[in-house]
Amino acid sequence: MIKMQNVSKRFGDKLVLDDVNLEVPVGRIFGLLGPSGSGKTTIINILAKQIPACVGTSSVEAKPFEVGLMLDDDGLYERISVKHNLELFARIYGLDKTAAEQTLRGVGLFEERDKPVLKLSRGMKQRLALSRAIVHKPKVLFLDEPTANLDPNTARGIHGLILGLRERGTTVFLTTHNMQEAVNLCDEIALLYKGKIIESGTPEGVCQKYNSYKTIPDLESVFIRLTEQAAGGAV
Amino acid sequence: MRIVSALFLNNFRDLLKTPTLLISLLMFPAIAVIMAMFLPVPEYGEENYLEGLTAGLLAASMFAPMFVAMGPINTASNSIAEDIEKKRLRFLIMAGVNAGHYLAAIILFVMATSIPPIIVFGLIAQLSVFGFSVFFGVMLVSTLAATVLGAMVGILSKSLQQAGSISIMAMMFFGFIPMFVPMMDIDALSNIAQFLFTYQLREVMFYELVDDVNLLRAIGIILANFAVFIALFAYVYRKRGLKGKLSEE
Repeated sequence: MIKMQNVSKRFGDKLVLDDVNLEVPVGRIFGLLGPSGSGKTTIINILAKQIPACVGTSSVEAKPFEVGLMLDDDGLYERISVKHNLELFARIYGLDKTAAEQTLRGVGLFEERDKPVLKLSRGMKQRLALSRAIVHKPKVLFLDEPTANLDPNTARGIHGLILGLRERGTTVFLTTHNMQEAVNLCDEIALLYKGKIIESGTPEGVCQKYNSYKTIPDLESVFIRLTEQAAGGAV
Repeated sequence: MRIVSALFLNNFRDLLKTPTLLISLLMFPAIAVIMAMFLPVPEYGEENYLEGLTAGLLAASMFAPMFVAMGPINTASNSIAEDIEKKRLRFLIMAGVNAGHYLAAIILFVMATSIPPIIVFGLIAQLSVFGFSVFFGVMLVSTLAATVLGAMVGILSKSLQQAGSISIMAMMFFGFIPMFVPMMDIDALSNIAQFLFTYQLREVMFYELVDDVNLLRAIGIILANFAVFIALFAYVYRKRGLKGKLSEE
């Protein structure tokens, strides 16, 4: 269970999060949607205990080493090989080389294992960052825009991996501004705008609430409508 | 221990792919070896003649202090500043690495990479067994002191570039002053140099040839430098810390 209660966060004078409440049950994929600068990464950082909240409480039902984290800054060691990047974390977690090898096979990077990271494409780097986040089979996984700037094939591959993790019982908390990704992947979503949650529920539920006349869930239209309302002060 | 050894191994792998750091560690012993073959030594009857002085000792006395002032400071500050700049610390902390693990791995790594050059300096200096033992001991303490100084620079820096700028000032101060003192007869410079660990390293190397070298005083000054660096590091660490870097990102 991931929980956030009445969380607010300021950076200097700027209010980045304003009374945020969230609850994610175990084994679900939760998507936090919002435009750039809405506070998505700050929420992940607070939940992953990277930064403290100014007000409110947050909790993740997992020990620190049972949590995986993938952020937009990959933090990889660029000069050393793919294999050695992952082996570092496997060793820190007390795992052997086999765990790193299996994870690399899982994300389709085994063939590239001896390449230095600086020679990888952006998509490959993202897969390596994901493999670092899952090498220890975490109970809870935080993913900050896991498919941003990726081609559709690579993004689909990562979606498959995330769905596979849910099958294994991992709770996944991801941020995205790709509405289709949220519809395809997430069991539940919340829409974040200027640090406030403006809507939440299942993707289908949210779509039906605002455009019930459409047969195919169109989360993008709902999102644009809600953020425009919020910008105008209607919500 | 498992975490420290994993980080140590990773630092070592990264070093092998970082030519600038490798050069800063290998350059001085290499130059000292070459100079030991070609450096002219004043002979009996010539000005500055010193009985027992060899070209190797002269070369080692010039380059060992420069190595200590540059190699460890550069390596420690670079490693930490790069981890901060590339935002790697948050992933390490998330995986269970604490500041103690991280700093222990950096210090062990710098010490391990500095020991071969120290042995090279000791060998070309052709010291006695006692002289070599004292030299090796004070070089280890000095390398540790310089590593602590480098770690402090790394923590204070927000980027590799900033770490480089601060390191250069520290390296010039501790590296060049001891080298210039014997060449220039400037009292003010000599008075400052006496309190620097790098200058006292030179004194330790000449202990067996020069009567007026006070070995205990030299070792005392080196240890005092180390204590000052530890105190400064503790102050900076309490003020800035490693985890504190995360909230700035």
